[in-house]
Amino acid sequence: MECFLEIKELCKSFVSNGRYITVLDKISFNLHENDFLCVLGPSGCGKSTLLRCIAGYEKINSGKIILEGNELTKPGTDRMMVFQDFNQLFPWLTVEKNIDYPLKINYPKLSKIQRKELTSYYLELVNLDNFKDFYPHQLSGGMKQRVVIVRALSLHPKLLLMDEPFGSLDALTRYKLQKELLKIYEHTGVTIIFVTHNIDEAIILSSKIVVLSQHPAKIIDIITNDIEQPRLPGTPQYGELWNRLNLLMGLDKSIEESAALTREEVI
Amino acid sequence: MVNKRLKLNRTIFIVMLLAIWEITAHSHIFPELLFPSLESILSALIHELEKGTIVLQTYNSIEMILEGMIIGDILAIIISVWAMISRRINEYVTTLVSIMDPLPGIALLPLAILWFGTGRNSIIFIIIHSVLWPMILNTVTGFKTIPKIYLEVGSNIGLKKIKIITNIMIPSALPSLLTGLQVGWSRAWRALISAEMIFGATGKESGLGWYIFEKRFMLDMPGVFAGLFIIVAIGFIVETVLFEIIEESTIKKWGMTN
Repeated sequence: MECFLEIKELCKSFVSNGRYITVLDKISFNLHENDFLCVLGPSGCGKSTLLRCIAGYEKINSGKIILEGNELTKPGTDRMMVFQDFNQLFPWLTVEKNIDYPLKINYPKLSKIQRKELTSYYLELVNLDNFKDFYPHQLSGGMKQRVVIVRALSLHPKLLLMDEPFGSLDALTRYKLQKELLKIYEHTGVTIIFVTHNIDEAIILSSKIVVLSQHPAKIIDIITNDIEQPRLPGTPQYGELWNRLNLLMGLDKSIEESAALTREEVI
Repeated sequence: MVNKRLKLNRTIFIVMLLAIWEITAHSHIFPELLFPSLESILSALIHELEKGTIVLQTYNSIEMILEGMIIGDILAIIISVWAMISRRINEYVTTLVSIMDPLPGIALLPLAILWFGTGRNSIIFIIIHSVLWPMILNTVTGFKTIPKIYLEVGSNIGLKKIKIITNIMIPSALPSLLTGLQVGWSRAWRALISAEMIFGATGKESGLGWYIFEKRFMLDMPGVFAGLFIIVAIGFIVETVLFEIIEESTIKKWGMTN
């Protein structure tokens, strides 16, 4: 059976100070439609680079990224990206126009009224219909990210790529937005790749987890996460998975050891 | 609230200046011919407005400055976009700007006269020169400081090159573009008045600078001050009213000011 998304032996390196630094080392995995994949790894390990390669922002050195049989090389509306940065809405457009504008570009046949209906449908999905005439700078960080998510969804992407979208939010808002994202995921059935360094976030959201190592990033493990929703930290399965992921990420290495590692990086 | 008080303070200050003027004029420390009273300036202004020539001359000046600014600013944006294509072109453009920018427009006037004669074209040339370089400088800075994320979102939602320039780069760089426009305007306004005072006697096409020159020639001091008053008033309206309105309805509304 043909896979929905296939990543084959993907390698990516950067040139820095005249030498090659390998960031991604032979990354391979497959994804089915309607999967919710969390890419978990320590900060700076190259998770974002992996996502940017899939989005088409970075040229890959070798390997293949194949979506529904087509090899991907440049950005497109079939893969919509959601960044961590709160300022990814266009500040000169109102919330409504921020969603309307991409629709206008990509679906020129839609009438103004049809676009208006679609826009309010998506804003209602994240309970922001009352804020449609606001400018982005008048919204909170969490509200902005919700608008960005529905702006991405409105173009019906095959893949929703999320680069630590809730990383700069406070714990409470983050929790709320995770719930909201799960609701949207169930509602639309969109396939998601979600990058995070937060173990809890990965457990709560994912149907599949890819764990990456550091320098260069290699896949340590691919885990299917089939804990029943709602996933509560108190349950044994949750704890079991948490311990497993924690061990894989090597977070409990002694401080001396990681300090030595950091020194090595500097040298 | 604070804004209101500031405006009140400003008004009080201007009234004070006018009062000092009036007292000085009436004390006859200086001959009345050189230091006319406010009422004679006002009556000269009213007289000139009724006669209509000053209105026509103001119109001529504004028309020339608008023409020069539109040509200069469009040219500046085209050159700036072009400078974004490659690092080498960018280097050429910035070098050219740093050579040309410090050169006052009026210093080019002798050259302009040789090239274009003593007419409208020379003045337009000087205005374009005054507007072009500060506008390029600010536009290039504006383009360089566009957050990368806007460009990435732009290419993600399927925008092509031209749309990225018109619908993403230009609005993102708007704060810098407005600064460039403002600097260009005040330079061009000064250059225009100076150039007109040197020549501009071309009958119907003459402007405000020529008006003042003419009045000085006839020792009509209230007339000279009436001309100065109009120059100050236009400068004030454009800089503090027009640009303020533009900023309020764009970058301030969008939260793009620091």
